[in-house]
Amino acid sequence: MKKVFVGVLVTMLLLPLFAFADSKPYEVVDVKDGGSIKGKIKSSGPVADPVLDIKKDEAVCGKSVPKQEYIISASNEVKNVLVVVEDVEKGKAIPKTDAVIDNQKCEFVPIVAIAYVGGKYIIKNSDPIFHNTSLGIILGEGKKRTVYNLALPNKDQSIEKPVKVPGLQIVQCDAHSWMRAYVYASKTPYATVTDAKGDFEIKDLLPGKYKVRIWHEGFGEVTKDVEVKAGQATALDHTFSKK
Amino acid sequence: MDMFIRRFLRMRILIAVLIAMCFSVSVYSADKPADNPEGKKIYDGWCAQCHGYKGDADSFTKDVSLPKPRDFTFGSFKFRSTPSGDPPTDADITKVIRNGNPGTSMPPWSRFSDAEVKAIVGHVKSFAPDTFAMETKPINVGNPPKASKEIIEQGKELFKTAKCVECHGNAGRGNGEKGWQADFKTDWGYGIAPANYTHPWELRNGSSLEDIFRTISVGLSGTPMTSYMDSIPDDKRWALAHFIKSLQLTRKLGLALKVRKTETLPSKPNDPAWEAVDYLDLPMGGQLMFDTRNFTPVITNVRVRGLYTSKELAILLQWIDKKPNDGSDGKPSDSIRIQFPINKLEGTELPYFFMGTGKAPVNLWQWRASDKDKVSSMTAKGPDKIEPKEKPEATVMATYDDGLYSVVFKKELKPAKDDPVFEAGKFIPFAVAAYDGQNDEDGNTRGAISAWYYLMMEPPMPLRVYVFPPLVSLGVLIAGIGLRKRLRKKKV
Repeated sequence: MKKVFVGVLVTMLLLPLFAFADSKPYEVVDVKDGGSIKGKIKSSGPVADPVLDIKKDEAVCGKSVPKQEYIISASNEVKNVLVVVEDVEKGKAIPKTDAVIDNQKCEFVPIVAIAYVGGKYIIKNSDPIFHNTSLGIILGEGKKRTVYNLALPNKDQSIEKPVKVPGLQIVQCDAHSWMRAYVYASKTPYATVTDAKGDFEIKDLLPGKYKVRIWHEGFGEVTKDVEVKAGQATALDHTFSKK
Repeated sequence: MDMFIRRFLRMRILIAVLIAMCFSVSVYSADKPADNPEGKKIYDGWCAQCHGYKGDADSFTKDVSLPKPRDFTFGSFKFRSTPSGDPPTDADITKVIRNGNPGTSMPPWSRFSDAEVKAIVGHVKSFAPDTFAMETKPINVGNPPKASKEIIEQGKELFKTAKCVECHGNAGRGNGEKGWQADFKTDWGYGIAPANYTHPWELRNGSSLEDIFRTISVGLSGTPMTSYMDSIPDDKRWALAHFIKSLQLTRKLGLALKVRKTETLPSKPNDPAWEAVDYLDLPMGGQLMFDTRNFTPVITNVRVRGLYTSKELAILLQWIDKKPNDGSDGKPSDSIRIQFPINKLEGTELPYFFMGTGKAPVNLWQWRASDKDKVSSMTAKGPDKIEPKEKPEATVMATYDDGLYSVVFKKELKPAKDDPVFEAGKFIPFAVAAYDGQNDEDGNTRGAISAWYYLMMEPPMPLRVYVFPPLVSLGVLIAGIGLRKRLRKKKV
């Protein structure tokens, strides 16, 4: 009798846990014979990369810096394009890679990075000047929701923070207004950034239909429907054109 | 039997604990919007007028308040006791509701019961469910070390090395160069100015030592104020807090300023000799009676000092302007005005406190940053009836040092026609209006203004003050001794 009573009580206690848990948490499963998405992102033509004037801390930062917004090869392949397979509910294990964001000569390195929820940000200052690194979920029209805002007053300082909030974030330094980078905090392993040849590959997806978000700082974004088949690589190419 | 009772008791405790745990969980779920009609009702009745019915600050007051009402839907909360990246605790939100927010339109709310505040907090949180899905707890503030010369010196050094100075300026007045970049913005997309530490009444997150320590540690989410918890250890952050605390002005409020007589006047507005002179602080407010009204003033205090010689009266006005404007950058020039009634006072009636009226006009002296050492003398019969005088009544000197304007008006005491009369021993009314060009204040109606105050030129002490009191004391002493002797005799 007593055991039954306690059992009921414990169940009552645990109930809210289920009720308030994330409705669709990512589920890690063994992916055998998965498919992949592979492609190349191009620009319809060359786009000049803006040069930013620097008016502060010139001794460290220099007088001007390429923005590195449009890193486009001779054959119009675009680097630093974010490719995300959206709303994946289950698949392979999330990599244990940390997202390193370095303040180097008054620029963030890298410009576009992937972080994994549950992993870590490692935020560094390689400059002998003050930087503060602020991450914020992009809300459009220059608005954001701050995720972290951390001071790095000294050279070679490094701060580790857990990746808790998912989504696309802008990284800024309030002390140097031209500095910016982007980090996508992913709940799944299925997100990547294109290389200097505009290439990307997302492996080990369970077969099925997916929506793939292709985002670039300057060109904007598109979402494409992709069907992944077991043991096959589905091609996904896209050509942006500058408006 | 005994055994049974003991078992029963033990079970009762177990049940009580379990029920208590259930209860706390159900309170948590009551914070969900659908289950919190009480919170919504109070919020809609008392908070939504500024913060918006949807928590998005879409309201009538958004154009007439600075800072603007908080948009809760962003999920960014400036005032937290929790680490950067975490939501505020219920206690943090409760504190803002209960204490209000100094220097903003958010008043303290004492009319609500604790249960009602709790319901409001729940409703506010429901506007940003993602933010509050995260668990958090306050940082450990611990015990502050005692203030000492050494710790303040250490803090002063850290103020430079931690680069606080770059935004907040050498003297902590909020005039640092980096604080004034064009795109220095909040999460909400609004411009923002670095805090002026010297005005504790303007510090939104509190001005106590612990408040300052907490702000340095966790930052102000949604603003460029960053978190130093991971980069500077506790003891050094306490040293910084002590230094910042030491910069705070002690405001001296009152109705009248004592103006002492002296042999010579200080030669410059920023002459250190002024620091030893008694002062009066004038709280400033936006001008709200005439167009263009100023709902968003930024000058909150003007400190006044005065000295006089047998020939001249000097009045020093000092105020903080984080970003000076001399009219060359497309913004209006910074300026200040001081006014005195023209007519001698009849009874206690004063002219209208802002620029007088036709019946009771005032004398105005104005200094503009664009005109350097030029003073404009004017007669005002209301804000739209200001006539310049041909002959300036006063002279002016001005300096701008590290965020601080110091302006000295000097006036010969020899009376001239229509001039304000400065007579020793009399209460002379004066009022001040100050204008910040950066805030688009135009030098007339759009500005920060004071009420009437008085200055009193202390008459030199007459000689009899030094003669009579000692004589009276001596007399009392002799009489006392005599009385004691007589009483003793009687007793015997």
